[in-house]
Amino acid sequence: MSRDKKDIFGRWFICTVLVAVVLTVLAGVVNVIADPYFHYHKPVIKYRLNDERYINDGIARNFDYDAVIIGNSLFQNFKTSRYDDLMGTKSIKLPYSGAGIRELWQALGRVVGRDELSVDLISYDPKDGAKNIGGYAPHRGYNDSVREVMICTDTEDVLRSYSWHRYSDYPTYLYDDDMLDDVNYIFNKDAFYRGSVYNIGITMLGKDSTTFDDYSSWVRDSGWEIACSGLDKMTVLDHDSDRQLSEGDKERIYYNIYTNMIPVIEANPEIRFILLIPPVSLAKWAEYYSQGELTYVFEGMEYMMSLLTEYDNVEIYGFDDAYEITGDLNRYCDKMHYDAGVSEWLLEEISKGDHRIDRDNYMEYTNSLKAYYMNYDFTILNEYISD
Amino acid sequence: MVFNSYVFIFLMLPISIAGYYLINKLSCKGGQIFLLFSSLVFIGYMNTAYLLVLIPSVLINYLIIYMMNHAFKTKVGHRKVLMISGIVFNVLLLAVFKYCDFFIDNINVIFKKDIAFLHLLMPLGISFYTFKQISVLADYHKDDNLSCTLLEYGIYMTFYPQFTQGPIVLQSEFMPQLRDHERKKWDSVYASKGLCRFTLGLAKKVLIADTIAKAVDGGYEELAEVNALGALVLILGYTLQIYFDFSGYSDMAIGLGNLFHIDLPENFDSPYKARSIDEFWDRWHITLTRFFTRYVYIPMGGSRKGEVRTYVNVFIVFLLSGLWHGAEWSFVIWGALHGVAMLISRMIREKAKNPVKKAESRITGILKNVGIFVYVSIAWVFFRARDTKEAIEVITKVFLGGFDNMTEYIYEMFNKTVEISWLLRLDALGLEDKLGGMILILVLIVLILICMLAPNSRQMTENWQDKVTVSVRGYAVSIIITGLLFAWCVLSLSGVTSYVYWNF
Repeated sequence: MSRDKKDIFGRWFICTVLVAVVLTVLAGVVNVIADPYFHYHKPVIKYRLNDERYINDGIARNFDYDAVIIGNSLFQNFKTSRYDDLMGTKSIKLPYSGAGIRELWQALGRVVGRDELSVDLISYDPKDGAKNIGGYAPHRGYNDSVREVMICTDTEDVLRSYSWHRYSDYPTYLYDDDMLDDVNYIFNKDAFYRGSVYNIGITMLGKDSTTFDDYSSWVRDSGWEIACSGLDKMTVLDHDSDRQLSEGDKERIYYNIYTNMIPVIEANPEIRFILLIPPVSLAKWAEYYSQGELTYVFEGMEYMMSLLTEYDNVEIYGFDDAYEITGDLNRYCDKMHYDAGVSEWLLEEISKGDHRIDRDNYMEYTNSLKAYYMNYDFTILNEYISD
Repeated sequence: MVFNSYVFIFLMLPISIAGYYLINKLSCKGGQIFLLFSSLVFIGYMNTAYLLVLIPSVLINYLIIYMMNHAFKTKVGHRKVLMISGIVFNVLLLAVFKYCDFFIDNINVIFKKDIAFLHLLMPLGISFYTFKQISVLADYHKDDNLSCTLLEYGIYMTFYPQFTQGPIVLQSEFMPQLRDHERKKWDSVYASKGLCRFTLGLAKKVLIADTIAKAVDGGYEELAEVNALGALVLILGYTLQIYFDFSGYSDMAIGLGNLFHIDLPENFDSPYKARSIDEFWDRWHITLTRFFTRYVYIPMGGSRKGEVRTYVNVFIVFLLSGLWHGAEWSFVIWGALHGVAMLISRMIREKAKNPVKKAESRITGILKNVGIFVYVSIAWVFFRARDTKEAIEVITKVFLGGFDNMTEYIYEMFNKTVEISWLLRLDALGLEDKLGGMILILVLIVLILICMLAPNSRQMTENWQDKVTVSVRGYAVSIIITGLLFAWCVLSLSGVTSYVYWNF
């Protein structure tokens, strides 16, 4: 091989490596400065809010706020501007589509801090000791000035196992304190192109950032047929063989609440925790009815309330008895999800203190639901249920 | 550790290469020790337990070949016993770690037992290094003049560029290069070729294979929703995914070998250009075909023991090849499908013995190429599916109709890839709106044409080497394109997962 040829390829190698390194580093620097997931600092340019599970932790770390609205898709249409008007707060919204209790309360624990689990609870289930549960370490919290939290408390989620979560593939590098795994963020194509480049673009074009009101909000077709989709034709059933809440079910609920929720509630006695039980539609109750699970759900709800109403800093608001809403399927786009108007109404009711459930009235609340839905003629839905 | 990871590209790659050449300047032995150490770090990075199987296995095999060509050099019988013992040891090791649960599962089914699975951790690269150890045993048995030091043997077995997925390099190819002092010096021509090849491989893996995988995985996860069009897309998608993935990895391995000034054997030669199943296996996973031919087929008698025995040997080789790829009956069926095709191909050839040689028309050639591509694609379904039942379900769906809309589970995640979102913006005719997944279909068609018509990475690298010195412009452009492609691949190692909550 001639000396000249070696020199030519030698220069080629060095130049190519240099180009690759410079471009990679440049993209990384852009990502750190533009910081589309707010992992390092407050926004310095206009931004788009999307990719919830990537961006929420950064919002909680680096935005200014004193209240948090956190929930699953049932909360996505809540407007922080309306909440702030009604409550006199400065809030952020942290939506987690499809999240269960574990994911929501772990996220909340990172925002406001959480205690270690009590010793009793660790011995509660020796086979699956709490110390072995990932993400349950005590946490100091990002923000000491939070005074109010509104969080979705879906009954169905409370009935699930403490460890239930929908997604296993999670961007943990944005949640841990390991600087080294930040390479996954700094040299991330999507963060670079859809985040940094996009945010720089809207800044240069003078466009506005996404507001929390619009963040993850949605509009979908609604109606009786749509809400009843997936239901089988309803028949009148007796409740003799209905599923009852067993001791095992109670243990599961207890473990779910005491593992996920209580360490956060106990760690923050000064914070007002507003637990909103969202109004699921008549179609959802019809599903419970046809599956013989009405009694199980009511008893589970009652047990949950008996545990949570013991805490003075917890306020529960239940809207399943808002029959004018739950019975109007024009307001639902499936069995669970209500329109933005309902979201606004819920905020107004909470601000007035209506639909509050406490240790004195929770049984009355569940009994009234029981009386209503156990005797409800669900066959009226048949005309909206496709064969 | 995998090549397409930050830890490899940012740390392992520069440190191992720079360290190797720097230490080589001081001491060649030091360079070799460093290379061995680098490879062990690469292997043990994910799980140090991998080394607990690898190191004893390497030591035992070395002991056997040492005894063969030192203590028992002149004793043919002893050497044979040693070789057989070594092969049994290696096969048993593979059987325990890779096939134990498969055997238990079959015993449970056949004898209606309930033996618990062992769920043993399968050591990284065990399928590959087992074959390499067997090939060394056979070579040392055949040639009593072979010898190597433990350090050389250790490097040959663990050389990280080819450890996890091949190519299966033979000791006769590797050892002379390892001992060549000229090859211990940095060679900018080799290094440039290596960088170019590595970048191409990385792009094939990260930009193409992983993007198609989103569509394939999405469809297989929601198979109940898949119609005939969707099933076709899954079949073709996986055919392309496995090629770009595996050949991309092989390109990276060969490129890395070049960066260490070592030539590794080619593993792919445009397999989807094949016009017969024999040709396909001459082009696909070439070093595996070579291993089976040399160390299984020929020792079994090859084609020397009559027609029937030849067919039996061929079929056994393909069954073993299927089983080697995975401990599932679906892999065995995949192997059997290729075995059957190979037998039919041979029978046809036998019947047409001494034909008047006619030039194959262009149309015939294309039809043969398409026919083999279709057959191979159908066989890949058994490779990808979780089990035989799922594979049959996918194939059956093609014939059950439904060519209008494929389920969005297939193309939704695919369409969210940055590069595909650019294509969607270019879709001025609104094709995607007319038929969801249209861009995916077009991408698959283009990739099939590339596989069938375009030069492969080896040819591209050779062309690049010839042309890069011709003009200053070409030189500069190739620097920018390679650098940009490398940087884009690095950025593509991490992305954003869309959490598709299907109700919302």
